[in-house]
Amino acid sequence: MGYSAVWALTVHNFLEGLRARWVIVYTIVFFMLAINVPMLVLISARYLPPDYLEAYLVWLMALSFPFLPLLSLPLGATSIVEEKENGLLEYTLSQPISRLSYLLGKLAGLFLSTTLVVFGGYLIAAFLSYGVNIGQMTTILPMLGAAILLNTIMLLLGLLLSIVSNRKVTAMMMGIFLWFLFTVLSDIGSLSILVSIAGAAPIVLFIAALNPVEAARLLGVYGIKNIGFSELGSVGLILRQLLGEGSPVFILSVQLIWVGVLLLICINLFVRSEIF
Amino acid sequence: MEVLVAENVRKIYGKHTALNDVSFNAKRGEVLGILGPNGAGKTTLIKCCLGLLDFYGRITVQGIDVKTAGAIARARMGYLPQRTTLHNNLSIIDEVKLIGRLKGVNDGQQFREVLERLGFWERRKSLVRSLSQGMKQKLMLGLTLLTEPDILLLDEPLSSIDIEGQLSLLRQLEEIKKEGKSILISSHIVGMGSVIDRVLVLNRGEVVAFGGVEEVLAKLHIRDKIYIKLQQGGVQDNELVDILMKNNVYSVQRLEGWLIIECDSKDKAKLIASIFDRGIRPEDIVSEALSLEKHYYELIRG
Repeated sequence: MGYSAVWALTVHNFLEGLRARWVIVYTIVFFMLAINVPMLVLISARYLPPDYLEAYLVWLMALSFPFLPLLSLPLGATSIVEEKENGLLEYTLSQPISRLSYLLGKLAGLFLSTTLVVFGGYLIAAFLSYGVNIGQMTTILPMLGAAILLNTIMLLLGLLLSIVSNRKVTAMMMGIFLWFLFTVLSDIGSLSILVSIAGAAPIVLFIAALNPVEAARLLGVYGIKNIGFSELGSVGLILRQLLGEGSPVFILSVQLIWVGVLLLICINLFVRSEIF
Repeated sequence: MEVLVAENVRKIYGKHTALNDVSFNAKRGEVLGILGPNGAGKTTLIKCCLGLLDFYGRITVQGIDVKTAGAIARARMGYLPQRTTLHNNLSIIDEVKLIGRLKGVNDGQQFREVLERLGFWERRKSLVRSLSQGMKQKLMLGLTLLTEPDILLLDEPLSSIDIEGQLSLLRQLEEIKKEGKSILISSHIVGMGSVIDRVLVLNRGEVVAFGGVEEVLAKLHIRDKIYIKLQQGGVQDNELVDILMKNNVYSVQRLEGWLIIECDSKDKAKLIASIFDRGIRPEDIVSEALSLEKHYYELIRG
């Protein structure tokens, strides 16, 4: 594997990612979501309670995490297939680089550009809008970590769609469907099973924790001190009941398994794929 | 010396056999033309050579197997795809830097020299998208030469550029050939005949013919022709035919006052000289050289 080629592709994809129209639009919307205008008014009028940051973070995660996949899923889903369509993939892979180098460069570049947007959005909001100081950073870090993990999973899912698709539109549509599945259909499906099957609650909610969006929210919530029942939600409560103090480790493991499995599938499929 | 060797290459897409037992080689400093109609398997063959597609059989470049050491083998090759695909959002200099780094070149001076040689240095900060198709192709060809590859693989290089671009490309190919590099060109249209040394003719994935241009055409009984129109009242046709038959001609036909003589290219001058030596002064003589373009359909039909 040529490290200089991976680096060149990482830098290229990072800059291309930041230049993408979708990323620019998303960044603006995400930042607006994160700064939370009503909170700005409250903080300027000094109407905030002492534990406002924790309460705000729980609210912010519930609000923003379902939207995080909308950055990385479409960006990942269109990345490789777009190059397949316009012939750039064929041209790039005709250079003396391995498929693995190409994929890692692509992934690293997109990861850095999307992470910058997510980090930037949250951190600028935290420092500018909420007056968070360095001492309070530990409160924010779990949320940032959970957000980055979620972003990585969605990016890998997007890349997987891009690898298996031959048309950009198909990959994009599948990406949007996955977002819909994780954010809307997953909740509706769980609720319907809960209502219709007596005694299924623990199993269903345990399975719901495998949903990366819900898992990321829970991971972020676990990192906040003094969390109550309402912050955990039904899935979090069942997990606590089933796994006790091991719940955060379980959720973190679930997220890491998502990353590992998706990465392996992406590498395996891409390395063996044919470039028509 | 053989730079590229393909042995029994077979490529199957589902139930369709795109390449069936294709074997050939490309020698140092020669231009090998891969000819054939659309769907003959020319692009598939080039992509197999680059290791972009899986295939049965074996392809080596300078002895390096493209299946097991694709990246190393590609370092010996330069590829100009059919579509002029570059990163449209990049400036010309950034494109050169990116492709250069993928090729393992990270020398600013070398990038500058390439751009100066191609005539792009003054507009290096312009976006790639601002270039015409012909200019993009010129840039891509320049990029393929960045690392001095042993063999260039050009897929339908004349198909998407205008006449001026085609002539410019042909001139560049002549220059590259003079430098001792091998060139493998796929084409389904005419225009490459002047630069090609040997041909691999494909049709429906099968090799129809492979060898030197004259050799292949001779196998298909296609030879040089001389058209001779005799002066009225001069030498009789029969007398001339007797002279011709003593000079290694393959056939003599009569058509509307013309004698049409088929012979080997090397014998043409001697044949014409012998006619004049006998004191015969024809009214007109037209010599027609062998040409891939002219005999294209006979070639692909085998």
